[in-house]
Amino acid sequence: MIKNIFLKSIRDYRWATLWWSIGVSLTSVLIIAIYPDYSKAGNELNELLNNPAMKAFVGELVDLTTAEGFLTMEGYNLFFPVLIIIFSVMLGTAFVSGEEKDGTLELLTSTPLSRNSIITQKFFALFSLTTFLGFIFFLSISIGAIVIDMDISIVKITNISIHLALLGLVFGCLSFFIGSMTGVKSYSIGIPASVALISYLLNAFSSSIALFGTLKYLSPFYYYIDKNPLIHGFSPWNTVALISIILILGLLSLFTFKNRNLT
Amino acid sequence: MDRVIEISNVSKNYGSVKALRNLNLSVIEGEIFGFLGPNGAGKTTALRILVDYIRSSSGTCKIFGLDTVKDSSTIKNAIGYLPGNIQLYKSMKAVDLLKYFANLRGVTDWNYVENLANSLDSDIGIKIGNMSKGNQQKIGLIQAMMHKPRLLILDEPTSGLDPLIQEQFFIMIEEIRNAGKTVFMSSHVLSEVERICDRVSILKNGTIVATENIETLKIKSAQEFEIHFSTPIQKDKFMSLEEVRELKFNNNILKCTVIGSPDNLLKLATQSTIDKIVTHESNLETTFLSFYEDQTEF
Repeated sequence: MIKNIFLKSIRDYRWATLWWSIGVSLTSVLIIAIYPDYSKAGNELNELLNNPAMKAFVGELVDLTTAEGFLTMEGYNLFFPVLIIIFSVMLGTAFVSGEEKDGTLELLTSTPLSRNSIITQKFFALFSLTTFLGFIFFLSISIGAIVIDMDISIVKITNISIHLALLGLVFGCLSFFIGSMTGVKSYSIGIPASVALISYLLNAFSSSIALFGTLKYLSPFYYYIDKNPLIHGFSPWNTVALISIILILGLLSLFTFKNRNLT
Repeated sequence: MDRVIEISNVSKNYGSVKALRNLNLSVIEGEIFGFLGPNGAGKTTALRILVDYIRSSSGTCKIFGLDTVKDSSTIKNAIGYLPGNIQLYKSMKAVDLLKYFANLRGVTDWNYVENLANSLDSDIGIKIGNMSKGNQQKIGLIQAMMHKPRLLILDEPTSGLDPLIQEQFFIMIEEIRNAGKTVFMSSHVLSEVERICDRVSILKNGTIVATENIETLKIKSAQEFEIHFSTPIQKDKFMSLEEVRELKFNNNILKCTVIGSPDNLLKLATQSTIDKIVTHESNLETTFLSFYEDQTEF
């Protein structure tokens, strides 16, 4: 029996989350599986990839022969963030503007639950499911690393996985906020996608374009990967910055949803 | 008698479009109040403001003396609401959806929910996505009534229901009224409002043009007649009848609208030989055009 909106939201996306988890796990396993051959290629790859033209796609200069450098380049720099952002934006869209577009929100808001309660429960469902996918990333990479005896600390994988989940949540919450403010599904999908792309480029080109060097502080990707937690360990201020963005977007969602005409 | 609903000077604008204009309305405890008007008149907008789904541009609404925006959650403990063109979670079975809403509303009397389903002949074991519009409407009605609310707000409640179920619904609504509870329902069907409502307000272009007791309305309501005579008739006699409007003759066929009782018309008509009489209720606009033609530009 479904007792509240939080559980209903989780239930609605349980199968989607399961399939995403399977996909993420298989992807992680495949990436891990190519590492032994990759590491043998040694410095040739470093010379090939660590040049300014490639840097936009690789990010921070990393030693690709190390497990940390390999995982950063193959997964955590771009590919894994893209996956978790898509997942979280999908949920952020579905929970507010999706339900509003489907017309079911009218019945839900006729119950004694306040608008604050509705949006809070949905927010926690978004948080839980995105965090769960972040945990699946952690689990699959950690297990893979142990199986092939990768020289990498589980603590560092934990650090980057937390940042990965938080990055996904930033854009999921942006989608959630736009849905709460406008109720328009296309805005909830399109705007976070555009912001994510711009944010990535701001951070990636920050060392080669002077203007971006200043603007990079506006990019959630900067706080996610700038002091790479996989290489340098936990960076609490960057974590705080990501959490702050999430909380601000959550509060803005509450405020805008509470005070607007639903459609 | 307490006023259950009080709408005071409520307007709602969507940009330059005025959906509601200075609406004033009171609903008394224990009555079935009909909110009548053609499609697009603003009925749904008014109901959505009452349940705080949308906010008015100006004016205030009170239910049980409480502000519908500030005290929305408190009010919703005591109201049941059926949205117009209801949308339900299509992937759920009806029984699961009803249990979900029962949990959200704190309903503990599941037997009552099952009784409602039986009364409306609703199979709640079916997935909602596989239900017809009418069967989904039944689920909407059950969820609106499941917590025995003091006030029911229903937007076009009979939409999609077959005539037998409509009749059963009317009986249920009358029972609710007889238990001292209040029903506020919108409709664009005059006959169903006549059938169950105690009072009715007529909405046109966002403004209430009339509020009447239903008995008054019944007396003055309009019917359209088409009488086929076997032989030519004397037109002058029909034209002199006060209650007859829009009189037209075509060969031996008379067409007209009658406000109130058709007794005089039929007595006059039966003085000639009649082949056939076709009659139907006027649409709402015709009825109230006739009803209020001297009082307002409708």
